[in-house]
Amino acid sequence: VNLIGFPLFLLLGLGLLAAPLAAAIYLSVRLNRRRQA
Amino acid sequence: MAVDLDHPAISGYLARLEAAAAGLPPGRREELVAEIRGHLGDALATAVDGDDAAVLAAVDRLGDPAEIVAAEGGTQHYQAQRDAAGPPYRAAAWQFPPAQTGLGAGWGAVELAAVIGLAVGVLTGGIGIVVGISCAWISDRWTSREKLLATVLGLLPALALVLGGLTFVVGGAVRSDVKSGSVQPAPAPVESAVPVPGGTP
Repeated sequence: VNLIGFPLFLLLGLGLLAAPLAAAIYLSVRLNRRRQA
Repeated sequence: MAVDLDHPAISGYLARLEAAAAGLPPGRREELVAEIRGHLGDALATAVDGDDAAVLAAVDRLGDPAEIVAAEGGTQHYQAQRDAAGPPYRAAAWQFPPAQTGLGAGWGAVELAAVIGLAVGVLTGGIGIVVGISCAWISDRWTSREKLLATVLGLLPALALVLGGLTFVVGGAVRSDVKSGSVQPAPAPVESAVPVPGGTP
């Protein structure tokens, strides 16, 4: 097992999987800020 | 000396502005009056004290107070929302008027679907992402830029999947070519047979 490549690959994969969650958080923050303004 | 902002024409104008802005939330009303007062101060900064013509011209340039309030989102809009909220007045019921931002600001079913869809999108095998992105574009509560950013973020796993798949397929094809002998593997580097000058014999 490549000790540097594998963790990097894992991190990248998890990051990519988390991207839609980040999009959801971004949209909800934008909407809440607009609502509170 | 600059014109005093207590000039009757200015105080009269600001009083009319306050009256026109009666329907705005108190904080916003004070902010608007202060803003207009600041504009007048700037406009009259170079005018000499007692220059009534300059004062009247500055006030004239600002226009009708009712129009300023209308541009701020409109008294009627706020009034209607306050009436709809009913007593006791609920601050949470306030929303940006469409005229001000072009966007609504409340949470609706479409917005909830967009956010939840994106949040659980990966767990639903991508269906949630498609639903979330579609709902985000249907909704009028976000700007196109926000929708675009959410779309790009939402589609990243799909892009990664496609690129990963391509890498796998291409890598597999190259390996099978090498195995079948149609492509020769690169020869291992060999040491030069020519003696290096100055090197050991």
